[in-house]
Amino acid sequence: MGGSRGITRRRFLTGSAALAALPTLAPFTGRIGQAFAATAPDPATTGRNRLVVIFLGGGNDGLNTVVPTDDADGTQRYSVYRQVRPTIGYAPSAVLPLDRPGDAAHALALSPALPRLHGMYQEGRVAVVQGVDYPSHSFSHFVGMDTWQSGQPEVAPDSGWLGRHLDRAGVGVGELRAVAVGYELPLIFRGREKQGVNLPGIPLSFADGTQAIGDARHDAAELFGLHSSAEPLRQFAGQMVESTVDLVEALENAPATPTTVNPVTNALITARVLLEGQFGLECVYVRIDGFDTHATQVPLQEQALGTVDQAIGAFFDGDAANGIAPMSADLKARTMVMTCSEFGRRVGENGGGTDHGTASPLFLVGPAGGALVPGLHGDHPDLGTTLAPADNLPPTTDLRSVYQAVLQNWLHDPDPLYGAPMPGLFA
Amino acid sequence: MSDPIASRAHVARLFGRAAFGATATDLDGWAGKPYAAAVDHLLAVPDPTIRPVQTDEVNFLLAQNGANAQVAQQWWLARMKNTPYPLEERMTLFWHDHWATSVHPEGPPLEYVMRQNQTLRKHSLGNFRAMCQAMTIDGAMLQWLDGDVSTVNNPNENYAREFLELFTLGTFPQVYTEHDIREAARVLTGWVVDPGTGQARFVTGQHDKGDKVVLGTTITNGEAEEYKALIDVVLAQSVAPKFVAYKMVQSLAYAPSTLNLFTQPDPLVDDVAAALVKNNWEIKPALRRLLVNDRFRFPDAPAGKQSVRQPVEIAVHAAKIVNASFDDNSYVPPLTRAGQQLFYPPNVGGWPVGKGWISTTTALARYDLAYTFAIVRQNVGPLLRAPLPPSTDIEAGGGQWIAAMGLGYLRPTTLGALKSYVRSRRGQPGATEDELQSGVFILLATSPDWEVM
Repeated sequence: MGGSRGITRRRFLTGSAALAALPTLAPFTGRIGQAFAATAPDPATTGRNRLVVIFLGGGNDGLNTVVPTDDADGTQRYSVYRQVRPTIGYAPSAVLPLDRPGDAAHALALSPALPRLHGMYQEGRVAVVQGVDYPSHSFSHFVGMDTWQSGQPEVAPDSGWLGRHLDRAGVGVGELRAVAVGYELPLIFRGREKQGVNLPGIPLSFADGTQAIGDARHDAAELFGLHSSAEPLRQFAGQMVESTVDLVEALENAPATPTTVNPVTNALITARVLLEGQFGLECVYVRIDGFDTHATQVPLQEQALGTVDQAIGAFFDGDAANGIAPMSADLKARTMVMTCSEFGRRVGENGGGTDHGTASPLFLVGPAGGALVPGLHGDHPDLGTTLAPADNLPPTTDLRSVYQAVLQNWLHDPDPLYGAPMPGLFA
Repeated sequence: MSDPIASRAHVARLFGRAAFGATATDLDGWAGKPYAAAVDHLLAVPDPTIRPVQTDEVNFLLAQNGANAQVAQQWWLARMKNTPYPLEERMTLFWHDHWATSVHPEGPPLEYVMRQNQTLRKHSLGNFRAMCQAMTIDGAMLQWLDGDVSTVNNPNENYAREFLELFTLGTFPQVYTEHDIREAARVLTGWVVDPGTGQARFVTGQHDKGDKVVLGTTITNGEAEEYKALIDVVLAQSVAPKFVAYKMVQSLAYAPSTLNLFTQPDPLVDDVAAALVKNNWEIKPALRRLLVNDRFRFPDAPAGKQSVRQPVEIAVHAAKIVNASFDDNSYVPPLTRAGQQLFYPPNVGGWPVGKGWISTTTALARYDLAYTFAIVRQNVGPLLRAPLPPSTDIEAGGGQWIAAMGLGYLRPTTLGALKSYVRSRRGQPGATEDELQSGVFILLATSPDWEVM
C-alpha cells in the first residue's frame, strides 16, 4: 500500500522551526521520559490502558511457582506434591503463603523467589490465574510458544492475539502502539495486516548519526517502504527500514535508561520511559529465557523467577539501589503486567529437574482498587492421589478466556474469534 | 531437465543464497555459461577429512585465545569469506542452525561447540544418517540437551523430543507420540561427557537395558550401539526425508507454504526428499537437485518464493565486496545486534527464518553493519570507487554498482532511493564524491534487493 507520508520530524527540524523546537526536547529533568516525544500529546491515546506481557521462555514449572502447602479443597495435592517431588519440592516453611481473604482454605503459596510479587499480592495488586492451558496441548516449546502468542490452539496460527488487536486498531507502519523490547518481533505482535515494532533499547541512533549526510541517506532509505506489494517479503523489509528511520527520529533524544545487571529490569524500564512518553504506546512485550529446567531445577528456576520478580518490582515501585524511581501514580493506575509461558512442567521430578508438562499459572499485576480483581482465580489443577498421582496436570482454565477478559476489560477490544471472557477476573 | 544458460540474475541468486554472495568476478565468470556448471563448481568440495587444516586452526585459536567468543566468531566469519569452498561453509552454517547448540554458562562451553562445528563441517555435504549418529553423541549436544544426565532411573526427554521434533521428523504432520519420546529417551540413556576431552563416553550401568518400542518398532538392548538403531527407525519414517528437505528449501530457497508435507506437498521439497531417499541420505546429490531446480533458479519466481538472508550471510557478502578482514573486531557487535552470534543460537530451535529476520531492531543493526563496512571501503583502495554519474543518470550509470555489489539488477524502489540520495546530497557543502559513494554503498547494502534474494 502506498499513500502519502506525514512530514517527518527530521524534515521538520531542518526547516525554520528547528531552533524553536529544540529547547523543548532537552534537558530531560524531572520525571523520566517526560517531554521527549516529537508530537503533542493526544488525550485519546495518552489515556489508554497499558498492557505489558512478560514471556517466561522454556516452560515455567507451575507447581514450584504456586506451591501447595497442605492438602486442601478435598484433595491430596500437598501429599502428592511431596511424594513425587522428594528433592525439588518446597517445604511449607520455605514458601510465601497466599493469604488474602478467602485464601486460607486453599493452602497455596508463592515460590521463595517471588518476594516482591508476594508483597504486591498482599496489597491487592495481583491476580493469580491457575491451571491455564489450551485444548490439544502440545509439549513442544515451539508449538507451545506459537499457541500462547497467537491464542489460536488447534489450528496453524496466522497472527498474534495482540497483533489482531493492532489490526482492529488499524495502526500505521512504525507507529509506537506495540513495542517488543529485544531482537525479535514476536508473533504476539504480528497481525494479519499490521504489526508492532521492536527496538533494542533507547535512545536509538544510527551509527553515522543524524547530521546532514545521514539525513539525506535516511530520507532515501525511507523510500524503501514504497516497494511493490507484488513482492511481499521485499515490501516488508522496506517497510521495516522505513519504520526504523521513523523510530530513530522519534527516539534519538529519549533519555538513556539506567543499566542494571537484570536484563528484564532494563527492558521494563525502557518500556516505562516509552509508556511515559506521548506516543500512544499501549502494548509491550519482553521475553526472558531460562525456564526449561530439565535438570538442576531449583537454583535455575529461582534465578529466573527472581529476575522477573525484581524487574516487576522495579517497574512499578522502583529500585532504589539502581536509582530507579517508582512509576508515576498516573501511569500506575493504567498499567497492567501479565506473565505467560509455553507450558508448565511434569508433576513428578526427574533427576533433579522436570520434563515438559501441561497447565501452569499466570500472573496479572495491576493497580490496587482498579478493574483487576486480585487474588486466586480458576481452580488449582488436580494432582491426583498418593496411590495414583497425576503425570500431567489437567487444565482448569482456557487461555482464550483469559485473553478475552484482558481484551474486553482492559484494552476494551474483544476478539471476535473468542467466546466469553473468564468470569470474575475483572470487576 | 534441459541445460539452461545462467543469466546474471541466476548467478546472483545462486551465490547469494548458497555461497555468501556473488562478486563481480563471479557474475562475469558464470553468466552466459551453463547454469549447472556453476552449481557443480560450488559442489566440487573435496572430502574435508583429507583437509586437516581446520583442526589445527581451531586448536591454535583455542590455545592462543582461550575460550574467547568474539575471536571464535571472527575465525568462522573469516573462514566463510576466504574459503575456496563457500558452499561447505554455507551448509555448515545451515547445520549449525538445524542442530542449534549454544554456548551456555551451565554448559556446553565454547570449546565443545567449536568441536561440534568441526563435526558439522565434516558431515555438511556428507551423509545425514552419519551426521545424526555423530550429533546424538556429540559432547556439546549431550550437555546442551541434558543427554549427559539421562540415566536408566531418570531418562531425560530433552534430546529425544528435539531429535524427533526439530532434527528429523517435524510436526507437520506429527507422526510420533509422547510415548515414543519417552521410549526414545530410554534408548539414549547411559552417555556422559568426559570433562577433559569433551568426548562422549558410554556407561553401561547407567543404560536402560529393557526393550523399547519407538514408532511401532521394538529396539532391544544394544548398549553403546543402540542409538544407531533408534536413528534407523526414525529415518525410516516417510516424513523424515521430506522434513529435512523442507529445512534445506526453507534456508536456501524460500519458505514452502505447507502445513502438511503429505497433503500440501511443495514440489521442490518433494524433489529434494526423493533425492535423499534415492541416495540413502547423501546430502550432496539432494543439494544439487535443489540448486539446479527451476524453482530455485528463477529469482523472479512468484511472490514469496525468495528468502531473507541471515545477517551472517549479508556480512560475509559485504566483506567480500569491500575486501574487509574479519581480523578487525568491529563486525561482531552489529551482527550481535542484528540477532546472530555464531555459536550462540537463541535456542534449540535455531535462529529465525524468513520474515522472522526482518524487524525494526534488525533493520537498525543491518544499517550499522553496512556503515561499518562502508568505513572499511574507504580504507581499502579502489573497490567500489567508480565515479558516480549525475543523479539523473544513475539508473543508466548504476550498472557497475549493481555488478560490484554482486546483484543481478535493482528494483525501481531501490533505484529511486539512490537517485533521491544523490540528488539531495550532491552539491551540499562538504559532500565529496567519496562520501556519496559510501552513501550509495550503504543504501544498496540495506536495500530490500540485498536483503531478500
